[in-house]
Parts: sequence; C-alpha cells; structure tokens
Amino acid sequence: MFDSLVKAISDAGGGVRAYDACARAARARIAKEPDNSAALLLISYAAQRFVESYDDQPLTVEEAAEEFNHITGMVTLLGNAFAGGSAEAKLDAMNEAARRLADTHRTDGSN
Amino acid sequence: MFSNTFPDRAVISETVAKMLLEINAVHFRADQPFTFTSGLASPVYIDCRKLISYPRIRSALMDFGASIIFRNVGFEQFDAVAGGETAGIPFAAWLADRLGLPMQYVRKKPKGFGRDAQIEGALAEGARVLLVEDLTTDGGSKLKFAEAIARTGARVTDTFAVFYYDIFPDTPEKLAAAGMRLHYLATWWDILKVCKDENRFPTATIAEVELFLNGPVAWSANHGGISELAR
Repeated sequence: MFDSLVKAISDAGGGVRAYDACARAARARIAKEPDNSAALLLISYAAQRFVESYDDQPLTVEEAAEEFNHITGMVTLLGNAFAGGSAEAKLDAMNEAARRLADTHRTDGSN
Repeated sequence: MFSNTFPDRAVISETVAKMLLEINAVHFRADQPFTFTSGLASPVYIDCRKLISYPRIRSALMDFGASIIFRNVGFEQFDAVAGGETAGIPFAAWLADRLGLPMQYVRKKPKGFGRDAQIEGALAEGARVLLVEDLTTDGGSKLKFAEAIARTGARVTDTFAVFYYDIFPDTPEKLAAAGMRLHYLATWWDILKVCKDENRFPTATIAEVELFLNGPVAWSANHGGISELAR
C-alpha cells in the first residue's frame, strides 16, 4: 500500500535527497487519499526526520542501512493495517508508528 | 577589509589543503564508507564547518577567497553576498566583510508560515549576487539557492565555495547553464597531493581514495552505493 514510497528511497540510493523526495511524495498523496492521511503524514515525518538528521552531516553506509530498515518496518506496519484492517488495527498501527518515531527522536536528539 | 594581496593560485590551494588536514577536517574511511546526499558511497568526507572555530585559518581563507574573486571576476561586479543555509552563512558573512558588500542568507526551504521568508536580509531587484557555501559537490544545492534568489528579481552570477570536490566532470557546466561561474580554494586533488607528499595516510588508504576520485560512481557501486547519478 505504501511500499512504493520506500522502494523509491532504495532506488534513489538511500541518501538525503531520496528521503526528501519520499517525504514530499507522502505529503502529496494525502490530498488524494484522505482515508490514509494519518499514515502518510507519519511516513512523511519519518522521512523528514532523516533529512534533518543527516543533511550536512556524515552518514555511514551502515547507518543508512539501519535507517532504511527502520522506515521500512514502519511503512510495512502501517501498510498492513491500512490495507483492509479494522479501525482498531489502524489506530494501533498509528500509535506504534508514532511511538517508534518519538523513540528515534529521543535517540538522535532531534526536537 | 581585504588585505590586498594576491597569492599564487597553486599556493592558495596547497595551503588550504594543509589547513584542512591540520584541523582534521578530512576523513578517509574505505572500510566503512559514507553515503552522500545523492546516495553515492564514498571513502572521503570533509567537514568544512570545523574551519569556523579556527580564527587564523578562517581569516586567511577569506583573504584567499577575496583575492580569487577580485582577480577572476573584478572589484565592482557584485552588489551582495548571499550565504546558503547552514554552513554557507558564516563564510558569506566574513567574505561580505572582506569584499565590503551587504550580506543575506538563503534558507533551503521557505519557513512555511508567517511571512514565509526564504531569504533573510535586504536584497534589491536586479542585484548581482555572489552565492557562498562551504563546499561544492555536484552543484545541486547551489542551483536551488540561485532559483530562490532569482525569484526576488536578483541574480546569482557567481558562486564561491571553500572546497570543491572536482570529481563530477559536469558540475561547472551545470552551474554555467544556470548562469553561474564557480570559484573555490581547493579540491580533493590538492588534498591528495599533500597527503602523498607528506605521507599522511597509509598507502593502501590513499590508493583507495584515488580510486574513488578517479571513478566515484564505479567505486560507489562496488561499495553499496548508487551506480548511476540522477540527472
């Protein structure tokens, strides 16, 4: 459901520009997919966090791989719930995604 | 203001390379490569922002920058100096002071609320602007900053960076197509020469770095990065 967003990151090399494009693509889909707005906004925030963390900062290949696994996990979680899941499953997935996002912010010192 | 000296270009480049090495702004790591914003895997990384903490070095750099701008472009060819967010801002401030010109800075994106400003500082319509950043890789950020400045009615005619990668052959042409001439103090080739002359790193490390500098895309593809640069 949201797999194309992470595939685009991978195809574009997993650098800052790829995540920036992902964040913009997720936001652009919100208007067209109102039922998925909350999930797309969370994905957009996750991609934007990467941009803000690593733009102008050194990023090793290992860190890039970890970050990619992180966003892939989050997108899969949301995608599974939003592809025909119950309202409760969607809410649970969004809460879990938001928790992971907040956790990452605490870990990397982002505001 | 500018000290009115015009050192030889080669001396400037060698001196700047030595300065960057002296403050440990140069990092070589072939076994754990870096990922550039483009997705390119690289064994080299340079942190030009460290320069701001070394007053004697940054002062010399700005004198070098002013001498190159005056010599290559002229003394009365600019109306303003604009710094690109974030690392370009301090260098733009110091260079504007050397050149005796007003300064602005350009955000990567408009703020998105309030007056939605992307450019801070007064910039007159038609002004000829020198855009300053700490470094130039493929020129992508400079094109975006120049577009933002152009939307105000001013125009970037030249861009200055302390450091230029000089490993993507089409960068000067891309900038020229956008109406910008590129000026810089040193490149990776200057760093490499000093490293070789002074035996600064193990031979195997230097060999790997040279392999990357001569074929960055191929090196990237062999080390987990992109295998093709986006157009």
